[in-house]
Amino acid sequence: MTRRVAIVTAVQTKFVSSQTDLSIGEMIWEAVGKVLQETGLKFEAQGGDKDGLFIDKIISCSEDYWQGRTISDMLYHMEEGGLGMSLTKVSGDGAFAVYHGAVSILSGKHDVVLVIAYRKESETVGSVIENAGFDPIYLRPLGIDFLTAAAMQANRYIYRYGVTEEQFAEVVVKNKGNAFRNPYAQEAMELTVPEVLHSKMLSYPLKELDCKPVSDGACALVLASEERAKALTSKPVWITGIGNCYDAHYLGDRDLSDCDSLQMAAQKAYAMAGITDPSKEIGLAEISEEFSYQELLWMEGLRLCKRGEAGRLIQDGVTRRDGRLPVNPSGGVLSGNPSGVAGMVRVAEAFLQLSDRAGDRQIAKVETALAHGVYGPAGQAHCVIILKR
Amino acid sequence: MESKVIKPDWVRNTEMGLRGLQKGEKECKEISEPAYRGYAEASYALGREKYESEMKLYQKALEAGYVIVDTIVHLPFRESAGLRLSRFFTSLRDEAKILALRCPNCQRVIFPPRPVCGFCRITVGEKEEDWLVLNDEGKVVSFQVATEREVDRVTGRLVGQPNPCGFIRLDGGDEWTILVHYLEMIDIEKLQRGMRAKAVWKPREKRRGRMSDIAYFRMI
Amino acid sequence: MSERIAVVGIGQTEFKSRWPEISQVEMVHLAVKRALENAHLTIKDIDAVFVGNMELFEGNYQVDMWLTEGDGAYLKSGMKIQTGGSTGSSVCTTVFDHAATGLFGAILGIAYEKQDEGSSDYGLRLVSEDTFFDIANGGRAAGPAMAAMALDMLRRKSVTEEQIAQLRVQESENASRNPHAHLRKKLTVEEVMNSRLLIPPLRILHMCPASVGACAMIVAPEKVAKKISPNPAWVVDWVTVHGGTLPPLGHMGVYMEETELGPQWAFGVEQASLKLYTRCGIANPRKEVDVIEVYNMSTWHEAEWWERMHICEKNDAGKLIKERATAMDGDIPVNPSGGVVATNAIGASAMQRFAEAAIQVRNEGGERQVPNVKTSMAVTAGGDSYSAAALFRKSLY
Repeated sequence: MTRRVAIVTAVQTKFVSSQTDLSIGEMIWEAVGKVLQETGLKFEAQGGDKDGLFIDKIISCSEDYWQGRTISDMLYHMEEGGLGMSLTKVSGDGAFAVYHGAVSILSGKHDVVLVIAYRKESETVGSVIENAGFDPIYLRPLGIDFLTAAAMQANRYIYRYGVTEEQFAEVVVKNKGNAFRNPYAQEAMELTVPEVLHSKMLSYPLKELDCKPVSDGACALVLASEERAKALTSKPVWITGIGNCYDAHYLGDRDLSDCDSLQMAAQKAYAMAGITDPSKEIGLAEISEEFSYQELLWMEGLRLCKRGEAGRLIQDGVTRRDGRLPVNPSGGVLSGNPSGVAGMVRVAEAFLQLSDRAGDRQIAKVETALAHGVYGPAGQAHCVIILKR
Repeated sequence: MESKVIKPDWVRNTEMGLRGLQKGEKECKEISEPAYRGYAEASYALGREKYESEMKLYQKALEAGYVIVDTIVHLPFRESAGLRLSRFFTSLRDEAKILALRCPNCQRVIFPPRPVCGFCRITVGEKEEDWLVLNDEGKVVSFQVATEREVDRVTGRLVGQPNPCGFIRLDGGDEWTILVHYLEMIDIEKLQRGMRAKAVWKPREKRRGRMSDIAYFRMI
Repeated sequence: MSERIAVVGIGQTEFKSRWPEISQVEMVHLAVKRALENAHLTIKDIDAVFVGNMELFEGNYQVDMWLTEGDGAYLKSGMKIQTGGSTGSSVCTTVFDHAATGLFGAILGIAYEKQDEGSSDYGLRLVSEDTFFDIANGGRAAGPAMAAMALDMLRRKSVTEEQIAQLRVQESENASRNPHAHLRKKLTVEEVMNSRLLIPPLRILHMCPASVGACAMIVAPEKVAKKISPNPAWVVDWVTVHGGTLPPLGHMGVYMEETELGPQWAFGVEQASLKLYTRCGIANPRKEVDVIEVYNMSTWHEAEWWERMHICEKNDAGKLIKERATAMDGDIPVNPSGGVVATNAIGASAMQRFAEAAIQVRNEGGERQVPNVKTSMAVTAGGDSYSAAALFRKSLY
């Protein structure tokens, strides 16, 4: 990589189960306004700064279906700062928007990119939308949604690798406990494994507490080229590796306990970052775990441990805040993030950690962190971002 | 025991649509203005034709051996108007006043109210002095008469009212101020860009804090 | 730092009103296959796949997931881009950015629409249907804005109605030579002038159709392009400007002639064109560019865009029509493909402008090929004034 990219700031709204006071536009502006306040940046379309320090591209991440409106983002261009700007929209997950932002700078065509992700899950019925995410001919008519697809994946994972529901529950206990230290987290809860196991069964083996809650919120980051980054902050966090990858769609075409696309995405990111043994070289991981078992499965796909080992690792406390490899010290997606925003929040959290701005949830002495985003049924597409101090 | 043939989805859905369309056609009789009644009836006639041609197409496809899967996605939404629009709508309901914002920096009028000035990228609407009241009267800068409207494929009904749709620049705003709303059903020949129009408000007990608190704009 | 990049393959399906016998996946697959054939590549050579689609038109959420069954994205990088009518060009600029990093070999971009499957009139109606304000069921309200723009063009004598009819005939003649176009019938001035009046002065033959079809484009950085392609179209530069009218009201309903943003969607087109000229050192586009593809969603728009792109003075579009300057044998041919007014599969239309401009530089236009093209340009427009522009050259040096 001849050009370097850094994150200079990251902002989140406090995630809540239902943001009834603010409109989507007000929620977006809360994030973007904060970014502008923190960085003092203007937009290229405003005439820019004489030193060439201005935002020259905006990438938003949202999905029309969640608002029931085509070109839904059109309503929010003002709030995104988009008038007269180079503006584009990615759908899927916020980590992919970060990826796209990094590419925009690596291409040499842009210097300072604002990336934004937002969603209000509370305003409609997610499972209907998720059902529409399956092909209309074979899978959709089954009435399947992402929960049921995840349940199939969890079952396959148990069958193939012997992980247990108790180990899944450990993820919930850890993450919802970590959330107490995160002022942006939606739901901090002090739980025990039996409490998780006894929560209402939604789709075997996934129980209510194994699943992320419905969430509303927004996240925004600023990425910059090396020169600009150093002018904007004393603690830029470098993006040293990026990778993303698609898997097959039809659930039966995959062994759902395999992580082919995640492995490939991770491999691309590791190769770029010069990482050969992630289990040793990654100091902290923020992984998108919409469902508890996914933290374990994705850890294995990321080669943070061997296949089938993640369950044992969590029981040994390795991924706790005080463990050898903290995973989701933020509380993760389980503590409440909208899907689609979750991946960008993982990047934001990794940024805060590496720039020593993570407050009470700060993990000391981390050099290299990993942030992960995912979308599509049973993790069909993954995105991995490696960050370094 | 009788064997019952199960109708394909698309036949059932089309029949459902046609039933709705029939109801809609009956309701056309209630449109007081004959020209507009005619437009609505013509729209329904077109809608009928569309259903019929769709049935034919499906039938052809079936005979050719192609499978077509008919799905209807039912998605309810419950959206928050937000802090500024909530105040805006409350003002419509309680005071029959149309509010807007003004950017303290560039002085442009921001309508409908939003949290930011798109040009200056600063927060607006948090301070009382950012708010202003627009006149409920203005100039019709553009309009559309729906002589041919689409029938909603699922419900078989024409969406909205038969009235023309006007783009009204309310007095008290600036060149950015436009309100989209219904105009009274006047003779299409008489409608001109530049005409003036005034809001006809519903009585207080019928107002519920939505744009429909104004029934339509009448030409003055 | 920034790799030079080129278009090395293009594939298009035919475009028509309905295509019930194939699925979206198969339709996309067809375009991809043709692009690979055109590039003399196999799917193995592709590193990343980008898809453009407006999900509420066909009703498929995260359609890039299902499309992996036919677009070759299985175990490859990529993502889905969606920016309304300009989606196809946003896919292109995304592909261009990725190619310019040098981190990828060949990259595939796909844009399509299969509106016959979704209730796209419903999806379109939802465009300006802001829950709180648009009670007068917008969506069809693009009409008044276009009519207002047309009336203004007539008022300032930029064009006459007859000239617009002549231009429409010219567009149809071009489309008749494009095997991928939807409306290929050659029209006459009488037919256009007598066609059904929609909102005066707009007539039905001035407006674009609703088409179904797919377009695919393969792009590679210099070191790869030089190895694999005997005929690359070098992408010299690309820009995006979002004009932004004032949604939800301004987008559809209002001409906005009294504001600094000017006519609907024109701001984006003008700013994107000017930015491209400045960055590429083009002082006189009419002389320095050999052929242009613009997003003419109506014949009126094509004339307006000429002025906005500064290939003629303000209010002189009619002159260009009289001179036939933008015809195939004119001095600045515009839309040899026939443009959007002949073919509008919304998702694909913007990519087709870029694709057709690249085709011209590669001399692959067949009957629609303009002779001796060295430099071509594409400019797109879409919902809420998203506009992208790109410059292509036959040779880099």
